[in-house]
Amino acid sequence: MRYAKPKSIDEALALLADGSWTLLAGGTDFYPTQGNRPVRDDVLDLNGLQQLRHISQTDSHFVFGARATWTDIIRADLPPAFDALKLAAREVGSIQIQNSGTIAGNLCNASPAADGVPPLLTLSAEVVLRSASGERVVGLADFILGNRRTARAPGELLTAVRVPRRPPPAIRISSSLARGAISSSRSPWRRPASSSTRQASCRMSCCRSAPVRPWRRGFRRSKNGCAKLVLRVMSPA
Amino acid sequence: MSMDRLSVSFTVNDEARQVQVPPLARLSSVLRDELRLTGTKVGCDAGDCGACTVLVDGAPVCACLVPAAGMEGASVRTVEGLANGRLSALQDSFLRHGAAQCGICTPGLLVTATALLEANPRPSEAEVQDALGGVLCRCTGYRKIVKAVMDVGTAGAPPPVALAGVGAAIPRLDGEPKVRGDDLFGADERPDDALSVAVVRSPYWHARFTFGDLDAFVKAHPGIIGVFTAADIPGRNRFGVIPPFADQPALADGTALFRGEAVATIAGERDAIASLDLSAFPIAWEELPHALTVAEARNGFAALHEDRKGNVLLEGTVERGDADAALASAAVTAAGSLETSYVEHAYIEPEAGYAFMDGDVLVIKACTQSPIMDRDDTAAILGLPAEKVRIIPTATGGGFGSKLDLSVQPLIGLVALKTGRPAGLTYTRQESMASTTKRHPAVMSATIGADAEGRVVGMVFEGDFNTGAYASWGPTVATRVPVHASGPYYTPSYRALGRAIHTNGPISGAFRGFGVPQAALMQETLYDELALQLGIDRLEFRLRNALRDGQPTVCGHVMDSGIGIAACLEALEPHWARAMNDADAFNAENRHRRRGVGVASCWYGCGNTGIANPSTIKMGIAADGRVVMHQGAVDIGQGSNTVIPQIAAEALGLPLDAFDFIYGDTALTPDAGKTSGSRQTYISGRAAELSGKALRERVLRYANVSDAAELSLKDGKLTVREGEASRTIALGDLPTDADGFVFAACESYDPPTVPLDAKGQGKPYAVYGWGAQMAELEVDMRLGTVKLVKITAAHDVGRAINPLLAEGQVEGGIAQGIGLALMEEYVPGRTENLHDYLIPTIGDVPPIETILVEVPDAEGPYGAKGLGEHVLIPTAPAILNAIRDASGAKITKVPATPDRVLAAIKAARG
Repeated sequence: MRYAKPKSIDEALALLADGSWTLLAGGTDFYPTQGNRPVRDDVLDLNGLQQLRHISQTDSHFVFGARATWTDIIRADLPPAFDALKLAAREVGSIQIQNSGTIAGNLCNASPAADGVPPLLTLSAEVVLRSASGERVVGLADFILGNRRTARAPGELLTAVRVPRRPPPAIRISSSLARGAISSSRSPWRRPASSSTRQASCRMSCCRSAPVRPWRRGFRRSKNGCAKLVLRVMSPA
Repeated sequence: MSMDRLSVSFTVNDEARQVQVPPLARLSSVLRDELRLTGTKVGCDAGDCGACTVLVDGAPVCACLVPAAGMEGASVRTVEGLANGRLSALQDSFLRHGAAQCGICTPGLLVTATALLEANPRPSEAEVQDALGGVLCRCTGYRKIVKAVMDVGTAGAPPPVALAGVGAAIPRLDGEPKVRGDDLFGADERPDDALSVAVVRSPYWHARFTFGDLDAFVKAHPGIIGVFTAADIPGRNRFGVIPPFADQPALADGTALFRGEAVATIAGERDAIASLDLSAFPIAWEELPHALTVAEARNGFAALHEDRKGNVLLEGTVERGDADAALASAAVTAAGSLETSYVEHAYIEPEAGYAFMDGDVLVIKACTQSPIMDRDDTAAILGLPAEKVRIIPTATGGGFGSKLDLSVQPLIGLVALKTGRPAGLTYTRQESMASTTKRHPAVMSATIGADAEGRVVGMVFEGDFNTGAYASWGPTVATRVPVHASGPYYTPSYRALGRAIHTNGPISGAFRGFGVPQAALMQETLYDELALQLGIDRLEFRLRNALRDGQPTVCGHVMDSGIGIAACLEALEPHWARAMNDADAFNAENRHRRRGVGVASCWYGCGNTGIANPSTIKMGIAADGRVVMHQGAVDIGQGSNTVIPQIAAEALGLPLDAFDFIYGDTALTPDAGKTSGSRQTYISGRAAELSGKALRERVLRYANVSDAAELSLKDGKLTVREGEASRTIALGDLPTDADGFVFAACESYDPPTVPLDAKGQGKPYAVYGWGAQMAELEVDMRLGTVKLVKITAAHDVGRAINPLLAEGQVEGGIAQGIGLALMEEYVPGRTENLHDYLIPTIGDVPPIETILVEVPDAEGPYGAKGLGEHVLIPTAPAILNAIRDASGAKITKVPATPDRVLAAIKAARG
């Protein structure tokens, strides 16, 4: 049982190369997963890595540091293409959860009901994975392999999520929840079972264990000019 | 760095604090256990309920999700930091608006709203809902919370407590500690030397088990003091809320009948229990076949309890006239069937408490709805005489029926008795949901017939209620359902059957309404069907059939006065006309979203069904000039700590600010019965009225004056004035009784009921409450989602002792009715948390207009009737009827989740 809170990414990567760690960032999945059992895993606490908490731009990309919280995303100055991501950010649990939960945690946790996945897929997002031996960039659709499974190797740290600057269509996502307000993204079983919840993400990422690329088909222009997700064509493959 | 303790320095409410804690300790635990700041509550430990919300560097976060290691240098604000010598404007507003009922979610709401108001001093309703959406409240229905936040600093002062008798809308008398965050709930107090208790529970629905080497387990775990099993129970290892049906072991003996059943407890030092891995506990399981549904359990499945053939716990029947002949002769009939789901009480406070020995008396301080029943059952289990067990209820963070049954009491009692040390236990959310009672899932069918003029001529009803592994309140549900399944309508010919059936599912017990809300769904949806067939307006159809004074109920009970259902329905008439117009106008403009309106009624008998149900209230005037009231009716948020004193003050003729209270403590207060069956305002209130009047009579007789005299108390002197004459009694000069009273009274009241005969005929209750609600909503025809627009609720309370608190009951009951109708479905084994099990949030409860109707009752104190359970009953059927009105969708299983609504829309289209 070890606990480490590295101050630099290199230090974190060195630790990751040496042993199997459970990563702790916002805690919004970490603690519920522990339940009331005592913590037995080796825990690598990423909250000392200040350099991972940012939202920035390069010539080619919008870059979200791994520790960017949903509140950070809501408050960030981003073009309209990111409206669906902001909408998803507002739907990630409550304000309390938005203040703690991180974008990378949402993706690495790979819940089939993760709010962040559908809008990030529509933005052609990629994830940056670093390890002691180097860095690779993987498309989000190839990163999430299934329910709670990702392409992240044990020695890798997801350091950033990036979105190419070419303007993808703005989309609007309809959700169909039994409870209109506040829904956590940790309950995958319920959604396919009732096929009633959050149909957009459900159809895209829930009924299949891995997400499909929504832009292959399924968009049409709506009256207000933004692309609109048509729910029925998102049926499971 | 290892998992060893870490020194963390941070500020809490501007005070520098340093703690030595494991780096991953939750901030909620650091605040509560290390710093003893128990105003921050823990409801789920998973970020779902928001009760533990604190501000970290100004931002609201769930303290249960924040590692201690991240707190270095941080600034934390908790509820304890909001008041500064006096209540903050927000706390004051919560108190004045009745935004705190039980008070368990109040600290989280206050902290979250404080952050909102600091950023946005005049938030809109939508902004309040957005900001507070992460804090669940199960009592209030949220509307008063919204109002309290929006009205901070603007509303006027409430009526002064001094003048508050019957009818005064005063804030709750026990409210200040709730908004300050220093009310002590079940988990908030533990002696320093208290042992912690962990419970080993069955992971299977039905299983035999044998223990391995328990002594070796204890020896292998430093800090663990002992393991206790059924073999250690000194008394009768059987309990139950209805003694003839007592069948539940405190610790299962060799066989567990449901998942979550307790089989052993482990007691140890706090840290040892906190770091204990229960997977290493030596127990071998042998899984046995199980039945989870009524259909499975009745279909040749071996009886779970030997003497209950076919797994039928109890069948209740009410029969009057020839229902079959009446239906055969009816001009129109409507028939249908309907199914409901398990519903979890989901109070934000999980069961908790501690026990300790005071000499040879076992004292248990825990949250509860029924201290005397706790005392008697715990004593029987532990082989003690009842007077050697003392129950002191803590503040109770919601109950709604489930905290009537024993939970932690025998488990901590056994440890305290065996070890001689205090022993504390706080259920985890998962434990609470898995092991305590639920609302009965029902499978019902019914046929109702009416004549051509729209008068109901007959009804037959049959319902199977899944009562789970043990009896709990199953017999009450089986009895209450057939008594109430007609609804508050004159039904001359009637046959109704309610069965409670055992399964290996969670135990179903008491939940606000005891099966009546389920039965009302069946009856009220068929009433809409009949009205549609007859072409009669749906509200008019109900008015035509509303029970009137002098007409017999289905039990043959004739009341000469006090039947208020017609008055409630009439109160809705203008709203109904307005809502129908609004819906038509909306639907003319919209195709994909359709608006609908629905109405449904309720009646509900207050107190036990046809059996004794007394309450006793003691009060007196002490030598120091204070009126002291021994008030044993437990306030679980519903308001009895305020309403019953208001009645007593009115009867006695002295102001409430002259009163002190001794609340439920089985050593100090007489039995005021359980907080259940909407009986406290009526029955304990009536006892308080009798007691107050008797005390007044004693004073008047001493002073030799008539009842026209006025009493006043000042500086230990009691002044009696009648006209010009005045006499002052120096209380300190007079002898006192054992309670320290100069004048004392102790009176009881038991409702005059007549037991039901074999056909369910009799006078099951002395007082009923009545109500009708109207739901307006929109259905999204493509998504199947339902958006509530407004609920209008008219409830006959006889006399509103405290209109503010009565409204709070209405709003809170409606919120639970919304959950029943639209989202709450406890799936055994799969939804043992508050993120898979959804209860309404602040964003799910629409505006509610409450109309308090007052048709006085001859039995109730000052005409008052019960209210608490009634309010939930009409909501769900009104919503279902509105869904059908909007979309054509006939819902046959609740909750009406979007997939069920969509399927029903498709079915209606053919």
